[in-house]
Amino acid sequence: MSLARYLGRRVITALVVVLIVMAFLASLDRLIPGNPVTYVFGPHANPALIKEVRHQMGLDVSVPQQIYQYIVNAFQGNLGINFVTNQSVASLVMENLKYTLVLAVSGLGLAVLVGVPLGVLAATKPGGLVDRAIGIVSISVITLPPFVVGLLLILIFAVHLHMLPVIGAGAPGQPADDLKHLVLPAVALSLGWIGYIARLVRSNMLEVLTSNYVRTAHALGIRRRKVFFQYALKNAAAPVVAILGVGLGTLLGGAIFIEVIFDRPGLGTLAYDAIASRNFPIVQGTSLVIAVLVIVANLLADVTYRLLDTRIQLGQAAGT
Amino acid sequence: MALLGAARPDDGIGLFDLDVSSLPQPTRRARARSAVGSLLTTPGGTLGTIIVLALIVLAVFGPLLAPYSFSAIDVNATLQGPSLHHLLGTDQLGRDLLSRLIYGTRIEMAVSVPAVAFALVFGLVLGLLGGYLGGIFDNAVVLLTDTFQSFPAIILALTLLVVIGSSLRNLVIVIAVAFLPNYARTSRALVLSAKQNHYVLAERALGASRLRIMVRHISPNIVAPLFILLAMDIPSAIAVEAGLSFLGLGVRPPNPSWGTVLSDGFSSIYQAPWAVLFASLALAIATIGFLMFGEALRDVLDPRLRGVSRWRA
Repeated sequence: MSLARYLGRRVITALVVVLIVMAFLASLDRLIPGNPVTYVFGPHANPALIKEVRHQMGLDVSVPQQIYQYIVNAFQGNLGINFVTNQSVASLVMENLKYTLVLAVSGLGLAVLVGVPLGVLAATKPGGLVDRAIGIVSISVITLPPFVVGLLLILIFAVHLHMLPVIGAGAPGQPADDLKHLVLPAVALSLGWIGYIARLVRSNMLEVLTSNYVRTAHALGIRRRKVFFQYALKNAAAPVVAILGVGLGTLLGGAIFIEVIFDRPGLGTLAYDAIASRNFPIVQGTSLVIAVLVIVANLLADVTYRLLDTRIQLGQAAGT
Repeated sequence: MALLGAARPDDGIGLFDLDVSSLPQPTRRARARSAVGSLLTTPGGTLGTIIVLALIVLAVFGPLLAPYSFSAIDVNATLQGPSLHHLLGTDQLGRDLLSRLIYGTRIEMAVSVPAVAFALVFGLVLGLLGGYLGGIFDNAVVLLTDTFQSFPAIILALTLLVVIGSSLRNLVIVIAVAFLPNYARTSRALVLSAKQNHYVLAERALGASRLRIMVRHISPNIVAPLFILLAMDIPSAIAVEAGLSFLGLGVRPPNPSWGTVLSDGFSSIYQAPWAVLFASLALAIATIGFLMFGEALRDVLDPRLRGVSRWRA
């Protein structure tokens, strides 16, 4: 299958999945018995008000029509109205998205920047000190969900050592302050991934290092470091890209909690506050944006992985 | 064992039903004993088995073992550190942390185990339908799993919980839904490879119905890896439950889940770090236990999978 055809098929599948995700989210509060307006305003609300809000939310037409309307609106960037403050959900979500993305990307970045070199280091001496240390640390951290790691970091660095701030995202317009506030949340999010990526890179490196081309490079007298980092790592790191794409979802799920415990603005805090007031359109919009992010990340990771690793036959491992 | 091994259904002959009854077989008890013995051959497997058994005992006999009631308030002893009276200290209402964590074990197990079990059963059904029937069924199953897997498990569970409201039963439902796609996907892949076997071909030649082949012949051959997944998914389900309860979406106070203990402890983290510390420890021990148990189980049930680690969903 040619690359173009593969790309086309992959993009179309992703689009179909986005459509189904939208239909699913749109149908959620309609399929459940009880009506969203009643559970917001209570059973004794003014009937005129209920009628007005039902119309505003587009609830006075048939269910398939509502779902269709939701999808059409969503593609036009309209995710409904926050019926408590009358703000547009899309603008609220977009406003908060940047904080979550900064957190997620710095978490992932940190994981890659620390995890990959650690993995290479461990592979240079399997069974050595670094190797064993990584094994132990990664097992102990992987066992805890990120929000618990975050709580423990707060305990160590804020309660006992008074070293780093743990509340908020820093004063706007002060990059140094923002960065200081980002340290603990990003570390909490990335710790599990550092160990995971290190172990992945380690095992891939060990495999690649036994291959013929590495032996040839050694035989040609090319410097060890160059063989390691330039020749071997390139092939050993390709699967990391795939893992990152798949992992973004888990990471975003973790980020939601990290935001809540570090009291940072972002999609997590937005959804958390919305849950307290049973403000479903916001929860719906947040889930939709996160799902779309995950779908896009998976698509990009799939495509990058196949471009990086030419050994994979296109279409064969696409999974569809 | 050797005879039994030679006549296992995946030997490609497909005459399992005819042959085995005439062969000398180890008794059920002997087989169980040897399986338990293999679980305990490695230190990791032993530790994992002990932890899992301990958690089950705590979950079942919790009320007998806990020194206090989980909701007994003692205003004279709030936010205490560990002492002889309260081994792990108390929370902001003076409730005994050890007792709350023990009762919490019961809730964690009562939510995570059924949730993952439901996910396995329904995932297996979807996987069988998609993998064996193929065609439009398969496309539907793949699209469905793709759709649900584009939500992080916790987000899907959270969104569903907002709609259907939180209760213990609903927690089980939403966690089952969140974990289902993984089982559907895994069983579909297993079915696709299992249906290449000659015994399936033989069954078809003998005129067995598709339902019979799926239920009697393919399912028994693919459940082992699914059970391993199940053991390793229980800690993830516990983490999701704890997360939801931490956000106030799960177990209602005063009932103690490890998540509510964490969230209570978080609100008084500056005065009394104990709650957060001990609840995290409980989560970590349970996770390590189930992972090690799962790995040992994998080595016993399916040695071919050795080295395949699935430590992150």
